[in-house]
Amino acid sequence: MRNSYLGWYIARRVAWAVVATFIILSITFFLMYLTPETHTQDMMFSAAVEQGQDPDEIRETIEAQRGQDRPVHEQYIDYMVNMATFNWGWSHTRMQPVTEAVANAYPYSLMYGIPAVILSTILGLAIGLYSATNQYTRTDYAATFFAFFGLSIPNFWFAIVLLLLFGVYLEWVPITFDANAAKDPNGNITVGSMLSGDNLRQLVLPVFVLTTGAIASMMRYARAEALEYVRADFVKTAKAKGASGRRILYRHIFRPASVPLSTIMVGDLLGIIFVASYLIEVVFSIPGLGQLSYNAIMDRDTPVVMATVLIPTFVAIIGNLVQDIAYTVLDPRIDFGDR
Amino acid sequence: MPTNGKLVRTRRQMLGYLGIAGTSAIAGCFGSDDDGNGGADDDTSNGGEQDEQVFIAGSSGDGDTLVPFQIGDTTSAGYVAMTMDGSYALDSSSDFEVFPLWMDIDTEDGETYHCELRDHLEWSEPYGEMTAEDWVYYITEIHQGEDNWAGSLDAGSWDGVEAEKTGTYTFDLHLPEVDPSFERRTFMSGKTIMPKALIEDFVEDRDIDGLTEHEDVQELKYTGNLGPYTFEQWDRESEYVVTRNDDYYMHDADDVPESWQNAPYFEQYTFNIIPEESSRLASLRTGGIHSTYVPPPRVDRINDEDDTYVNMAPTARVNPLAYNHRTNGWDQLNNTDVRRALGYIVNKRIILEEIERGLGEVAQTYQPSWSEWFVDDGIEEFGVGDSHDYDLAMEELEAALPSDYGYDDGELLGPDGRQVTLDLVALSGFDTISTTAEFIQQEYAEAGIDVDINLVEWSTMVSRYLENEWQGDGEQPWSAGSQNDGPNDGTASADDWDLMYGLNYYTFPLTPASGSMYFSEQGPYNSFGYKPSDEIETLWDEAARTVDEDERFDIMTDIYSDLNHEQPVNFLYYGDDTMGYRSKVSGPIEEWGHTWDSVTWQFEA
Repeated sequence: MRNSYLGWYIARRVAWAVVATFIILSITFFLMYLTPETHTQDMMFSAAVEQGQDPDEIRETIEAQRGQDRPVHEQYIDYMVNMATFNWGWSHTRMQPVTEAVANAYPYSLMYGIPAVILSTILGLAIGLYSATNQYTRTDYAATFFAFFGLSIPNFWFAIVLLLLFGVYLEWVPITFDANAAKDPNGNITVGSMLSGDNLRQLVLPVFVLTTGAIASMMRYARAEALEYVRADFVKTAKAKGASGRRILYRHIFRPASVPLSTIMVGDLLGIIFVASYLIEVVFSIPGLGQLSYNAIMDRDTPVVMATVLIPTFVAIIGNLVQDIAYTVLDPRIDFGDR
Repeated sequence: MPTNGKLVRTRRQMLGYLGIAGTSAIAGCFGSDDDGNGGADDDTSNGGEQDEQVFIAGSSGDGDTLVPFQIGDTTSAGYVAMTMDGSYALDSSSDFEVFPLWMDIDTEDGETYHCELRDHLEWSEPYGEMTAEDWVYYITEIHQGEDNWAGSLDAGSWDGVEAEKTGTYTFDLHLPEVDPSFERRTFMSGKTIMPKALIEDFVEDRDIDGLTEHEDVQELKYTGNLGPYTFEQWDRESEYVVTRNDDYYMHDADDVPESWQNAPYFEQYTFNIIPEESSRLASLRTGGIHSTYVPPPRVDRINDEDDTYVNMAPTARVNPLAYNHRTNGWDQLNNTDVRRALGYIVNKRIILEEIERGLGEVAQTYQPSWSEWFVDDGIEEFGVGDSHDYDLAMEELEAALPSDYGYDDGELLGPDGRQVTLDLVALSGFDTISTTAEFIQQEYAEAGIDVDINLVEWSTMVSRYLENEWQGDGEQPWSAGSQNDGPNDGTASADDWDLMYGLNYYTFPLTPASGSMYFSEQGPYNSFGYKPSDEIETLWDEAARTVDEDERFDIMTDIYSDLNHEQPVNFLYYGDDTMGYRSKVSGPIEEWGHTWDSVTWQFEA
């Protein structure tokens, strides 16, 4: 019976995911449509100084190249059908298929994003739990300060400062990102090539900056959740029965606290990382999804924007679904019979 | 003012000098800023040091395309230029005479131009040698194709030009009317084409997508011996790499300086995309890259370091304070005497010295002092020395304005009895622009005029202030496009404005008659609605058709003198291009157009 409820719940959530994705992509499309096109304007002005060409003719040519001269409803239908069929089109600002652009970019985002997620999760939980079990001590204050520092400091500014310190003055890390350092001699990105010394060295600062931003929210959530259980009766009982501090921490505090904590994994953490990736990748010159998306927005490269919006949307929606399902595994008291 | 200093040669070089300030501003925002030549010279941990002959240029943005006829940005032009020289260059060391690359060009009458290709120009296999047939086919089918099916951005320039093959390696270009400056136009100098054998299948089917997506086009595999470098790889948003072309046709040329015969001097040339300005400059300082654009506030610091220098070359861009002559500007700006009076208010030297760090020269008319077309006879000074005078300005204003205007307690009062307030719109995002706008506000206050500043970003500037529409009664007399949609007494932009700062105007030092696009009544970029005197209109027309250079000089002298007198805008100053290089980079000099021979630049031993 429980499984049938779960199956029905998943089916409805997947259906809702499709609707939500459709809505988000539609909004994105129309925002792009309404956005002033600076790239074309730039070309028009350049063309004008190339001996008096007609700027309007240049604009019409560029719009025709990009299919932007058609009625908006035709463009919209085309884009939506293409997105659904994974025929994501051609990027006129990159001279390559959109799928290729995304495929080339995502490894660079993952190679600093995954370590940042893992580190911020582990460290955030550890510091949060420690802080909760040592409330109002100096170390708790220090951890809280660290958390708020990481949360408050602007990522892009922090990144530039670190670059100046460790790149320019100390010369410990490279100033600019070398995409080739992540590739093997054949030009492919492999696990081995990603773990090369040169690549790891250039990833240290991006991972650090991203982790400091993400660790704070995880640490604060962990601390708050754990505090709910630190003085709970069953924890007192466990202490009275002589359970070790480690057992109490892991089995009686962390386990119940982990259920609500898991909810922020997908939402807050991924949100922070996706948003931060725009700034991180621009500052560190990392040719990942953030920079791909940023440049596509600036150039009004609609096919690329749609694809780079779809990916985080998909990850967030599916991630939330997986997280909800994980509830039932982590906490047997939860089922989806009423939902 | 930000600039986009592409280093490449000829066409892309010229593109780098193009100058509507807005273009430069955009380049500063998300476009390409720079490039350079050189190789890393000191061993740091920042890459580029491994190979002495690897040159790394730092760029703020990536290119768009490698399809020559679709290129509209300087970065892409620079990419293609590394692998294809193009038609010919303009030699800045000899008054911009034609320096044959692929071809030589000459004319007797300014209407028919004879083009002769060099020997031994080879496309990659299987496309064979370059012939006149390639040129004529490319011009007629790509640039002049039906309905511009290929999307050529040069289509307008080639309209009416007849290309005629006269031999295997020679062809003529018949212009629809006399154009004595044709060989100096940027769509012709440094022009690249594609082999007929590659494009003809797509031409027949009008298949632009097929052509664009063809592997040989995407990776420039057809460029043969036609450029100093060969395409190696393009990692978008990361780097664009070319390697030395050992078969470069210049190695066999006996009519060029020796430095060309051994060029290029770098084994590899890389454009490294570094979007963030601080990172780019830090990389230059530590030797990670060899060149990048340096904004004026950072020039001194880069110059003060032992391992770097800034090459400050003059630009052909004038930075004006524009007046709105249209219906939604202060109606008195149509009065020449009022504009002349306003010219006395703003201290140009302070803007140049204090805000632009002395990088440039004061402007009084529409041609910089280094240009062969520059004149100073009969040019009046405004806003410098004794001609920067608030009292004089107020006196002249009072005399020029209608009687219902007047000064009271130092304030200029309008017909409604209130102080005259002008709206100054300026580009946002650039410290020097906003500071200058504030300075102009202070200067006008000294002359009793209140100024409201409105900072707007580039796209808003274009759509709300530069573009305008006919709003008059009756039939629209004429339209010169979206930025000049009719006579100034019936046309207005979407938002009201009186003064505008942040755009610069290209002065066309090689083709000066092109300046009419800003300063003739129906010029497509006369967005501010200036209606010149009949004399100036006639002179622009004569200048465009006069083949004799001395005669043309006299005409341009009259035009510049008249513009100086009429003050359609307040010509403030000419800025400098400020490219930073590692010290070992030898080649850049502080002259306009000096990058035309950058293929010969090298590292000092």
